[in-house]
Amino acid sequence: MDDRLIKALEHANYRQALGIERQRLKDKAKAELVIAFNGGLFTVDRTLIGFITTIKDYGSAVILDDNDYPVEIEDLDAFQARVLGTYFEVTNRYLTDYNQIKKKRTLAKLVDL
Amino acid sequence: MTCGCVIFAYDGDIAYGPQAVLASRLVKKHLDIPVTLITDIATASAIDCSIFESMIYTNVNDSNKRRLAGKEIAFKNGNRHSVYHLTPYDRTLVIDSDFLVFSTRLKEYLNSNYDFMICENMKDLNPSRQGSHVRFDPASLDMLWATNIIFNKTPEVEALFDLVEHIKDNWRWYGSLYKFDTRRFRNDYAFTVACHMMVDFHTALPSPVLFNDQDQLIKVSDQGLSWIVGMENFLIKTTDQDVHMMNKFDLLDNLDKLTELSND
Repeated sequence: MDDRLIKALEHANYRQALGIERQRLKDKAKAELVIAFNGGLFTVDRTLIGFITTIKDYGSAVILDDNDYPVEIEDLDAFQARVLGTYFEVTNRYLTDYNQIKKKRTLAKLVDL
Repeated sequence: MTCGCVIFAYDGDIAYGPQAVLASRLVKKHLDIPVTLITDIATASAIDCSIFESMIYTNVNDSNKRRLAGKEIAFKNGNRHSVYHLTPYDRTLVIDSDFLVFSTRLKEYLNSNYDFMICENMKDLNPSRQGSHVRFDPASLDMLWATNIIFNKTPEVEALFDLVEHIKDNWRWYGSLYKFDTRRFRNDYAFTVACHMMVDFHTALPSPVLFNDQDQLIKVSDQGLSWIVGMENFLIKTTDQDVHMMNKFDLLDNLDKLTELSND
C-alpha cells in the first residue's frame, strides 16, 4: 500500500472516531439536561427557559413535565434558578469537551490511548 | 421515605459477586445511596460483603444458559420479580451487576415521583449497528431493558411484579402470544410483556451506553474508558456516562482498574 493510501485510511479512521465522539458528547449533554423538580422530570432546553421566563411573574404555576404530567411549581423563581443553573453548567461543560476534541488531531489522542 | 439500590448476583460459570461489589462501589460514589445484595451463600462467601448495607440470601433453583463471547455459560436470573417483596427500601433502584454507574444521572430519576421506570433503549455508539432497538417480532413489541429499574412500593407496582412472575410461570404461552424466543427466560421480555399488559405503565429511564459481548475494554484511566467496538474495530471513549458492559470476561479482567475509579 502506498503512503498516500495509508494516510487517507488513517484520516478516514480519525474522521469516523471524531464523528462518534461528537455524537457521544451530544448524547451526554442531552442526558445531563434532564432534571427532577417537585416530582416531575423536565428537559432543560430553550423552550422551557423561554416559557418560565414568560410566566415567572405569576409566582406559581402548573407545568406539564416531559411525560405531560401536571406538576405544581409553587416557587417559579426557584425553578428558574435550577433550570438556568443546569443549562449553564451542562452547556459550558459541553463546550469545553467539544473544544478539547477539536484539538485532538490523531485517533490515539481522540480515544485517549 | 427510604431509597436504595438492589443488585442480584449469583455465581455461575461467571463470577457475578465481584461484579456486584464493583457496581455497588460505583453506585455509592455517584448516587450516594445504600446498596443491598440479593445472593446465595456460595456467592457471598467469595466476596467482601462489607460494601453492602444489607444482604438477602435466596436460592434460585432454575439455571439459564446463554452464549457470551462465543462461550456457552450458565447463569441464574429467575427471581428478579421477587425484588418487590425483598427490597428493604420504599423507592428502589434495581441494577444488573454489569451496569456500571459513572454519572449522577439516575439521581434525578430517583428524585422524581414516577412509580415505575425502566430503560426503553440503550445507546450503541457503533454507527454500523442497529443499536439496542430490539423488537420481538415485526408484529409484536419493542423490548424494554430490565437492566435498571426504579420502582415505588404501590399496589399497582406490586401487580406488575406479580404479572412478571405469572409470565415466567407461563413462559411458552406468552412466548407464542407475543412471538418471542422462549429458549431461555429473559427478564427483559417478561417486564416488557407485563408493562404492555398494564397499558403503558412505565416511564423511561435514561439510556446507558451499551457495549455488547464482542466489544473490548482496552484502557481504563481517570480520563475515562477506551473501547474497541464491533467487527469494524471502531475506537470509542466514554467518560462520565453509565455503561452496560455485557462482556463480563473483560469486566472481570479489568476489575482492579475499574475498582480504582470507584474510589473517592
